[in-house]
Amino acid sequence: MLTPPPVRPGILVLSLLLGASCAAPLPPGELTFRVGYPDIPSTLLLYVAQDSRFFAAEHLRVEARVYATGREALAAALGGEVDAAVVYSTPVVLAALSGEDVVVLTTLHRADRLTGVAVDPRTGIQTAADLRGHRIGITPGTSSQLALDVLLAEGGLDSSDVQVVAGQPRDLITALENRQIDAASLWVPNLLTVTGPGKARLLVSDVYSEMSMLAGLRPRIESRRTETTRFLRSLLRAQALIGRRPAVVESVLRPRFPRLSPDELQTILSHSRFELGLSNLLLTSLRQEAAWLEQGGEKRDPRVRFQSVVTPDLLEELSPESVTLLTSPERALR
Amino acid sequence: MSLARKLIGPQLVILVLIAALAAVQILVSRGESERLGETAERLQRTGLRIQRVAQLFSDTGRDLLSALVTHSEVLTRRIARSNEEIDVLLEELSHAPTSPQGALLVQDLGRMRGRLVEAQRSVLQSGSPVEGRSAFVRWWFLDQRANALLADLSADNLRGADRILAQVTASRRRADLLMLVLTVLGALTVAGTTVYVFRGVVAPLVRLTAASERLGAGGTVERLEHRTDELGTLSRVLATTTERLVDANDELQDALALRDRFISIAAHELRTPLTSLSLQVSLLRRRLEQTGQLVPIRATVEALVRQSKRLDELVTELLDVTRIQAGRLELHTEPVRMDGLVREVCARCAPLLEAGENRLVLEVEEGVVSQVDPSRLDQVLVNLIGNAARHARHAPLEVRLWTTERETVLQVKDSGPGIPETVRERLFQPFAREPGSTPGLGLGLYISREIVEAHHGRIEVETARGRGTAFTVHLPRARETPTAALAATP
Repeated sequence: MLTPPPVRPGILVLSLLLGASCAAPLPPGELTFRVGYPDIPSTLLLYVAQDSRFFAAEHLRVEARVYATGREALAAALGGEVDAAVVYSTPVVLAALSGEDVVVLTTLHRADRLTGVAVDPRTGIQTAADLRGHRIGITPGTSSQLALDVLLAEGGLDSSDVQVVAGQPRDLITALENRQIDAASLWVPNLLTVTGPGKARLLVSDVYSEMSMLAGLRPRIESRRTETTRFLRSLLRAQALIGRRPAVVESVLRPRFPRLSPDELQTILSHSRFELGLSNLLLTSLRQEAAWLEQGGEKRDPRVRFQSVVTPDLLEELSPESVTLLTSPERALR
Repeated sequence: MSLARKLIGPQLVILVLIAALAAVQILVSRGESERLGETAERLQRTGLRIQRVAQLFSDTGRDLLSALVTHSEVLTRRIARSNEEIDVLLEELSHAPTSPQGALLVQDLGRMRGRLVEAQRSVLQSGSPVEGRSAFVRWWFLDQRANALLADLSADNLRGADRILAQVTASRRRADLLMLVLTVLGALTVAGTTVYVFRGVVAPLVRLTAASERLGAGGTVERLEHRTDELGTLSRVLATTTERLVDANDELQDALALRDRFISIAAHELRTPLTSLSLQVSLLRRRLEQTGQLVPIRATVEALVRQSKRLDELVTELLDVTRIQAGRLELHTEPVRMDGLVREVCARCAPLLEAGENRLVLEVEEGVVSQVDPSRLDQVLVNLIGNAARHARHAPLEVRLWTTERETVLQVKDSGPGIPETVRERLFQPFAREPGSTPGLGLGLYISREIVEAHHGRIEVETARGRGTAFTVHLPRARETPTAALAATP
C-alpha cells in the first residue's frame, strides 16, 4: 500500500514565505513607483498627492519609504531600492561629483532661513565669527554641512577653524542638549523645535537657500518613464490644489508633525514655496555648491556636467511653464 | 402673406444670419488681435528691461571688482547709479508681469537684489582682508543667484511667445469652429427655407399643375381655401373655370347626343317614305314616257328623279354615320378583284366626270385581289372620285391601283386648287364642310375613313395649294385569294 510522502516542514515554510512575499496583484493598467523621502515638511507635495489620492487617479501605486535624511533616500535610489528620492541639493551634488549618473527631475520646494546652526546659548556665541574653535555638529553629506560652510564663510572662517562633529540630526540634538557639542547645523523641523526663547540660539545665513528635489538614477528613471510621468503629474495636481486651496497645506502637515507649534508651522510655510520647476537658479545652486564642496576638498569626477544632471524633458512635457531652465539657444528661443 | 414675401423672406433671413455671424467673427478676431498685440508688446518691453538689468548686473560686478582694487569713488558712484536704475527697472517689471510665474520671479529677484546691494556695500566698506573676503564670497553667491533668477525671468518671458502662439492657435480654432457653426447654420437655414418655399410655393404649384393636367380626363382643381396668397386666388379661379368648363362640356355632350339621336331617328323615319317616293317617281316617269306625256314635263320629272336620288344618298350617309357611331358598321368581306372594282366604279362615274369636264387617267395593276367588302369599297371610291370631280372641274383626274408587298394601294388624285389649311385638320371629321363648298353634309370622307379603318387600312391625304390633292387608301393584302371565289370580275 502506497503512503503519501510526508510533507517536509521546510518546504511548507518556504511556500508560505513565497506566497506572503507576493504582493497583491495589480489591477489592470496600474503601475508601481517606489519613492524614498525624509519625513520633513518640505515633502509636502508628496503628502498632498497621497492624501488626495492623485496617485490612485493616475493608476499608480506609490510605495513610499521613509529615510532619516534625503542623503539616505538618494543612496537608496542610486542603489536601486527605490525609483526616486526626495532630497536636498547637497546630496545630489555630492553624488554627481562622485560620478554617479544622478538626474534631477524637478524641484519640490524652495526655502530660505530654514537650515541653520542652533547654538547653545550658554556658549556666548552671537555671530558666525564667534564659532571659531567651537564643537559644531553636522550631518555629513547633507545640507547641514553646506549651511555651516556658508555661515562660516560669512564669519570669515572655514571648517578648519572649528571642530566638526558628525552625526544624525537626532544624535546632534541630544549632544547639544548634553553640551557634548556647542552648536549643531540642522534643518526643519528639528531646527525650529530646538531653537527659540529659552532654547538654542539660531544662526542662519540669508545667502543659503535650500531646495528639495526629486532625483534618481538616470537608467532607472528612463526605464520607468511612464511611472515617473504619472508620479510627476500627480505632484503637479497637488501643486494646483495647494494653489486653489492653501488651507490644504496646514491640514496635511499638522497631523504629520504634531510637535510643531502653529507658530513654527507658520514660520516654515512663510519661508517656503512649494512648486515644481527646473530653473537656472537650481542649476546655479548646484554649481555653486559643487564649487563650494570642491573648495572644501571634495573630489570631482571629470565627467560631471551639471547641465545634464538637470533633466527637463519629463516636466516640460507635462508643464512647460514650470521649466525656465535655459539649456540651449534653441530652447531659449522657443 | 403674399408669394413674393414668402420667396424673399427666407433669403433675407439667410442674409441677416450670415451678416450677423460674420460681424461676430470680425469683432472677435479684432478683439483677439488687439489683445495678442498688447501681449506681444508687453513681452517685448519686459524683454528689453530684463536685458538692461542683466547688462547693469554685469557692469556692477565689473565695477565692484575694480573698486576693490582702486577704491575709486567714481566707481562707487557709478555702482550706486546702476543700482538705482536696476531698482527702477525691477519696479517697472513688478508692475507688468507677463505670467504668475514671472511675478514670483520678480519678487524673488527683488529680495535677492536687496541682499546683493547689502553685500556690495559690505565689500566696498570692508576694512580688513578677512572681512573683504567673506563679504566678497557673500556677494559672489548672491550675484550668481540673482543672475540665475534673471535668466529664469527671461526664459519665462520667452515662454510668453509660446503662450501667444497657443492663443493664436486657440483663436484660429475658435474661428474655425465659428466658421463651422456658420456653415452648419447656413446649411440648416437654407434647408429650412427650401422646405418652407417648397411646401409654401412649389408643392401647391405642382398640385395645381397636376390638377390642370387631369382636367382633360375630367379631373378637378383643388381649391386652396386656406391660402390667402396668389396661389390661393389662382387655385380658386382655376377651380371655378374648370367647373364651368365641365358644365359646358356636359351640355355640349348632351346636345351632341341629342343631335345624333335626332339624326338616327330622322334617317330611319325618312328611309321608308323616301324609298316609296323614289319608286313612285320612277313609276310616274315610266308611265309618262309610255303615254307620251313626258316630253313637256321631262325637265321637271328628271329633277324629281335626281332630287329623290340625292335625298336617298343623304339618308344613306346619315344612317352610315349612326351605325358608325353606334359601332354597328358591318363588313361583308370577300376576295375581290380590285382592278375590276376600280374600272366599274370609274365607268359608273363617267357621267359625273363628263359633267365636270374631267379627263380620267386610269392606271390599274391587273389581277389585284383584296379581302374587302366590295359595296363599301365601292362607296369609298365613288366618294373620293365624286369629291375630286366636284372640287377640280376642268382638270385631269388620276385613279391608280397598285400593290406593294403587304398592301393594296388605291389613289385618287386631282389637279384642283388643293384643300385650305383651315379645313385639313378636320377633314375626316363628321359634318366638316368647307365654307362655300358644294352642297352636302360633309360626311363622305368621315364615312370613307371609317370604312377603310374597319378594313384595318388607313387613308392619307396629300394636298398643296394650287397643286391638287391626292387621297391614298392603303389596304392590307389578302393572304390567300382563290380565283374562283372572286366577287367582282372585269
